[in-house]
Amino acid sequence: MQKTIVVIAVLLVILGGWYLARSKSEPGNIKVGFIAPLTGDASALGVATKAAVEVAVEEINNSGGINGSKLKVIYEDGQCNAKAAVTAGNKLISIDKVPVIIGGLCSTETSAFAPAAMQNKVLVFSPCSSAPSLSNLGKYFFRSYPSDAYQGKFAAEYAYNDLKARKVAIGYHISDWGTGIKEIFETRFKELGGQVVAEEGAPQDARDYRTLLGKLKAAKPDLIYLPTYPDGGIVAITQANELGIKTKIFGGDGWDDPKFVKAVSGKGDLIFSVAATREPAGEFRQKVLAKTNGEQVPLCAPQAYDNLKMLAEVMKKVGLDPDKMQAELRSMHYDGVSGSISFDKNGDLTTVAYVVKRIENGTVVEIK
Amino acid sequence: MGILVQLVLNGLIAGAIYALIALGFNLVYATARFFNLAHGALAAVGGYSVFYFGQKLGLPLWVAVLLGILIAGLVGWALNKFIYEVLRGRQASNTVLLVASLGAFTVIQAIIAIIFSSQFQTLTRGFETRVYEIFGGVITQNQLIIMGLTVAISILLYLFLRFTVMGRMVRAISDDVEAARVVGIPVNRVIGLVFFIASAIAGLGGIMVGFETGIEPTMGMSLLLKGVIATIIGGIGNPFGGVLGGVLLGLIENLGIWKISAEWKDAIAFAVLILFLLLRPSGILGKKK
Repeated sequence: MQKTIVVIAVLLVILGGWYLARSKSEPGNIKVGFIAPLTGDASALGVATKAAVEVAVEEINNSGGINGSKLKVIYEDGQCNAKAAVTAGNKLISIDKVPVIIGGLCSTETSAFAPAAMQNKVLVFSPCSSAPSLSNLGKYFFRSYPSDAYQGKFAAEYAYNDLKARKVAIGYHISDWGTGIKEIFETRFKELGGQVVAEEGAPQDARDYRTLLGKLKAAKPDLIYLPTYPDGGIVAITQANELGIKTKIFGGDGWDDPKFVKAVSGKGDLIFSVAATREPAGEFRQKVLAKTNGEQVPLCAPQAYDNLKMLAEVMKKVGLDPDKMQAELRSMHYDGVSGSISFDKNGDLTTVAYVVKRIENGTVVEIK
Repeated sequence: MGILVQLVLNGLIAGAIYALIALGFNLVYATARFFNLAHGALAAVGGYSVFYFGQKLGLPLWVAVLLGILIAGLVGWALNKFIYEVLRGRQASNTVLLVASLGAFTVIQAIIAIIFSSQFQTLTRGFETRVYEIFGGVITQNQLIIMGLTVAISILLYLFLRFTVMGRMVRAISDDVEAARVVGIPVNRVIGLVFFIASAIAGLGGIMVGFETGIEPTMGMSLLLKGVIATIIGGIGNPFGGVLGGVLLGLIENLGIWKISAEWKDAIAFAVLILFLLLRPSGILGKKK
């Protein structure tokens, strides 16, 4: 009796496995991976980016898909940290066997899962990661978001030439993004003849910045450069305001987040630099806002939408072969909702421009 | 001069929060004799209750705060009643209780994340906080309230333990649980009450952190770690040792990063812990064994 049960159980497991394995490779679908922080720090950006990808999927599938096949995106949560991103990446690469991954958002995510993707010849197309170190990942890596090699340099030049700052104090989040942008800023600012009077890093999940800020304040800078992620940034700006810091505070593109802007508005003289992308408009904007119930399409969402649209064109043309896909993508010149996109040999954008925005009255205004 | 005053103030603010967590943690240890790791999660329970009642349902702030404290207390009481008491009844060792409390911590944290998502949220009080200047340093009204509450609760707890019948029972159990049982003290009921009080204080700590910085489901772990370090520095088994330890830890951390980079704050805290474990394991106010 017991033997029969064991035999039946084994048969069921085998049959179940075969069925699952079979349904995995159903012919009608092309699977695309997606990694972004859907929870945790920077999740506001991740959720909006996911909405933008959903919009792109609907549009592609409603207009015939990829030569008849439908696109299916598998959304994974990278949580803006390395551990979660690696788990997500491994699942997409070895279980779902996706040919391409859109993501990650945070540089920390991308630098964690992308090396495995490179080895498995999975195309990684990030809409948001900006750490300069990612440029050397490999030939299957692309990003439609500019490297901070540009942003840090731009910010230093803006601080020195336009804001006439000579003594800068820097507070930053220790991460691939924060440390990367800080170092480039510092090098360029010193080259220009400026002085970095204080420099303090904090983990990105720190929630007490009082002493860090106190030290920056005590150095009496003309400008505080504060490239932080939005969640920790909210706390840091609030505490800076409480400490009576009146110095102008200059942030990075991490601040281009509606939740952040709302929370810190009115708590100081706040500006930040961000890549000059086309203001998301028209149908795309309407559709994303309808999905997120938001008032603003944050950065990276337009890029993610363009990423999927570009990949769809590439797949239509050359199929799913990774080498053909990367060659096709590299030679592409695309005019999307985020701007015009073309790549250099590292998969970085060839042309980048930045703007500076001021936070006031709960919203952002571009400084001309 | 200004920076030194500010560092001391920052240390006192952080210390007051650590002290609130250590106070309850230590009280539980004094009676139930194990490290209740779930204590940290109760701070998150308090913070999120205020977020739910105050911000989602729009109840008046004082109602939301009272509910938050009450719910944290009840959750702590329930943990004891339905997990720890059952295990104690089976003569489970302290290690088993510790592992069970780690499990409870993880489950509570997960439940909060499922209900409210893992996003960082700020608790707003609906009015601007005032800022006061003291000898070149600044402190906000909110931070003064935190310090005041820590002092007030420490005094109330002292009076409770010293002068009420219930408080004497708590001390009796803390001295010798078998003897207390023999003379007819309802040990389990008293421990239940201790859990309620300790957890309610942790909940209040979480609420204060929420007003001060913000809340996230994982906030309990860092609070717990600092609370445990404060407890060990100050003297384990002596609730007021925890308060002293909390304030000291806050000061050491913040003064320690005056000359070195602020990113090493946690490293300083744990270095102090190791020093105490090696040189004075019973802590400042702890009984020598």
